[in-house]
Amino acid sequence: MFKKNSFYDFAYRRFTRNRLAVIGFAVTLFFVIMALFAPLIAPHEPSEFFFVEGQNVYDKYAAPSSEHLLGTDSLGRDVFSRLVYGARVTMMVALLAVSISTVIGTVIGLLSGYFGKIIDNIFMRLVDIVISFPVLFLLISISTIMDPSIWIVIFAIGFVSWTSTARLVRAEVLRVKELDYIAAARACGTSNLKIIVKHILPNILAPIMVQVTIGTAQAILMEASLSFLGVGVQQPTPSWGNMLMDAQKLLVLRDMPWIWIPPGVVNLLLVLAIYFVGDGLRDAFDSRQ
Amino acid sequence: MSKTILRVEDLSVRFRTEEGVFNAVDNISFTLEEQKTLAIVGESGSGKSVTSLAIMQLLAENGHISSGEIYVDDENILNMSSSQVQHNILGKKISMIFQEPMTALNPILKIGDQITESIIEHQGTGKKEAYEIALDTLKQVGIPSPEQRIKQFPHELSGGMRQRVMIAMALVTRPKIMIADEPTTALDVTIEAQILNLIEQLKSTFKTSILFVTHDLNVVADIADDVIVMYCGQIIERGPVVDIFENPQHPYTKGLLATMPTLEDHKGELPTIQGGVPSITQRPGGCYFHPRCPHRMKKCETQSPGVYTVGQQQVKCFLFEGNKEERNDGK
Amino acid sequence: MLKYIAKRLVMSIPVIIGITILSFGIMKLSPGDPLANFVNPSISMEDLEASRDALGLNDPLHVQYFKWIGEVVRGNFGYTYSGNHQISALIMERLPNTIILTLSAFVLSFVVGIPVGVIAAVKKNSRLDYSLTFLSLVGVAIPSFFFGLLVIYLFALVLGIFPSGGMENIRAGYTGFAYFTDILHHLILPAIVLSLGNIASVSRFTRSNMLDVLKEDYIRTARAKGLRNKVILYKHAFRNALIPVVTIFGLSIPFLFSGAYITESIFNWPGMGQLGIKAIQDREYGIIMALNLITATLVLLGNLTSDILYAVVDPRIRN
Repeated sequence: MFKKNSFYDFAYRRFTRNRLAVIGFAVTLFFVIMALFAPLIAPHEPSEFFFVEGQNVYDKYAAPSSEHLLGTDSLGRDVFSRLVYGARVTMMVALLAVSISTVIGTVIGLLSGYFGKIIDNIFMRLVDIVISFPVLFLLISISTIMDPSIWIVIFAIGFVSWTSTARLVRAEVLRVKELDYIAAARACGTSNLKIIVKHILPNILAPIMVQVTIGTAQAILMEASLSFLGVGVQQPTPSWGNMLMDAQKLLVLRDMPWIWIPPGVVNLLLVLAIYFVGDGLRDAFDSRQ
Repeated sequence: MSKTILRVEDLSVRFRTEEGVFNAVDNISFTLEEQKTLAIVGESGSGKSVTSLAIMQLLAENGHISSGEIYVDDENILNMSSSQVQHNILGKKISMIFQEPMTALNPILKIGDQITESIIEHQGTGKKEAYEIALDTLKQVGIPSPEQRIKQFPHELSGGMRQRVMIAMALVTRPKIMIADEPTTALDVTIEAQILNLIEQLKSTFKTSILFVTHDLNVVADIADDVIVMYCGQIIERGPVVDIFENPQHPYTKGLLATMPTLEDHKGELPTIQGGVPSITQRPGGCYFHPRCPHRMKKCETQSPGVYTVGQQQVKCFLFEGNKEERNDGK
Repeated sequence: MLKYIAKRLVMSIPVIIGITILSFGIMKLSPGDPLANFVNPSISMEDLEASRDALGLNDPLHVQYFKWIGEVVRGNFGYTYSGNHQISALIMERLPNTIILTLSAFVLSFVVGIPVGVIAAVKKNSRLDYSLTFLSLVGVAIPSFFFGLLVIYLFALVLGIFPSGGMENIRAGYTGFAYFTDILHHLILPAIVLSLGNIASVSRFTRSNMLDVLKEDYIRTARAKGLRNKVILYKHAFRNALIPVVTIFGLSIPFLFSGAYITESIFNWPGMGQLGIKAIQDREYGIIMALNLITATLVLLGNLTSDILYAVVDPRIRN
């Protein structure tokens, strides 16, 4: 799969030997498939309302049955179908948000670490400012001043969570910059852009990949929290976070576990699986072992 | 004839790596006599440090002693439980000083605390008495104003001072053996000379035997009584220091000595031995040295040579096949 | 040491300014006209303009910013749009409750997290280590609102050992010690929920630090000295491993405040988070902005404290 005995070959072998990491990867893959093929898997449309037979009344809070595997919610919608489509929303939000935060964080980290001095100082103070705001506060502020939509959620998470990537990339650049061949390339007058792109970036890719993995897990949690609080993904679009909103009612919490336990459990499972992958990657890339 | 204080027999150390299991130290035997200095010389990868760590039972997690015996005062410490070794041997009968005085001292404990803790542990003295002993030892290793230094943290001392502290720490319990693993490699040349002098001088004050591990032949000439030359985990030549320097036999030892810069001889480039030490995963068949050897013969590629006696020396090389053969394992 | 602290203080000045600008910016970006909500359709455009002028809403932005800062440093965050409540008073009413909750969670995080991490590291690769590592990963991965709901479901609704929400039993009207234990009774579940993620990250961090330290040269030195395992672990390794843990004292503060939003809203805990959620629903931007500013400042102070603490515990920086 990789060139034999290369860095990635060793990492690949170490990763596949790590049982938890492989299980995590399989579970993640399962949810990716679920998201991709949601229309084939889900028995109903996620926003389809069901009525009590023969009556013009929503069939709400129906217990699980063969018709509705996980019952129906407070508006008479099929919980299982919403769960399946929710995987789509969750994945899309998380992946796009992480793409944004990774690009911002990597660029800022590279510039900061490579050029140092005043550029570094400005960017690092910016990081200090952003991390002084609890992430959720910032997200909530952003989501309230804009009209809530799925795109706002994506951009908000992306623009709030780049700081750890920036710090990581900066530290890695500082480490790599001192390596002999990069010092040599600088001495030879190779352009800065070329050094960064051709020499530095490939060398710090491994920790960035770990960070992307962990960042995805965190983005999923952030989206779920925002949606749960009502400032994230809005009804009728299903998300694993907003599906738990109903459970704030004591009645639902106590008597209708099918409404809130499944979305919570799948959320936990996916995040846990991604963390396993992240931990596995970190150990696999750690050549000291 | 002096008394043997440390006897290592048929010691092998194995390391588990991603590519398999390898012998880092291969069936070596040697003895250390009372109040003598034995130097183990070799390039990195020769197994010299692993040997010293194996004696101290400080091997990394993926390494273990696969066979052999280590006698300290005629007691095989490999038969002892780890707590017995901890309690009766380490820091009490054998002490060790390391290469990097910068990292070998705990950064957040005061010098005094780090020295007194072994006294308290091994001699059961009270804090106050231990403090006096520590102060005294610091004076003996030549630390100026020890009353002040003893209250300082490692980072407040220079590299040379830190190594003196390490030596004080090692000697404070008056061990019979001190293992010094490249103790001067990280130091400047002038400081190096001071530290070597100090070790030499303390050897007689404290009546200690020294196992001195180094890659630097210059240092060996200054300090050792006997020399062991290691290559790829095996002993390839041994003998008294004078003989090894005046009359090296093994092509590798000859090569090593030829690469030593001397004051008299400035002309031309220093000769080097071709190639490098093969990594533990890529050792050749036959004699491990044959790919780099100027005198290699056909059988060197397939057979491992025995050990032959040449004067006071023992050499593991087919060139001396006509001489008296020792046991094949290098003993 | 003093120089180090001074340097940290100077470095935090631009951060404070940045925080205020960001808070102000967020407020200014808020959609709509704060007055539009209560405009009586019969009011004339002139009257509307007059009240805008009176509120300073027509000034240039930087003038508004400095006016606002001037008020803020005097502790005046203005008034709510509806009901004309003083925002600072509203917040002061809630602040202590949030501090009780976050402080309990903070203490819990470290009191539980550090020993768990140390035990896992010392028993590395044992079954205990694997279980603890797995559990702490679950702690990081579980959405806090889901964990909160589970805890309420189990301990309040099914088992009935703890109240499902609120901060005190108002109807009982406890006083003195009974009042204290009543609050404690209400505090336990939300404090556990709020601290879970933090316990998990503290223990993971402690474990990996401890493992790193155990590979250090000075630990080998300590072994070579023939010290007991206990002395090596606790005197030499643990103290060194603890130093970096101090840095997450500071980092855990924003984490806990974020968590407080969710925990307070699930448990009906009358703190700033709950106030914030209500402010979002009512579009009370003044409150949101004040909360942002206050928590950001608290976080900054927390970071500063943990940096100073770092210098106190590490002699290499202290001198």
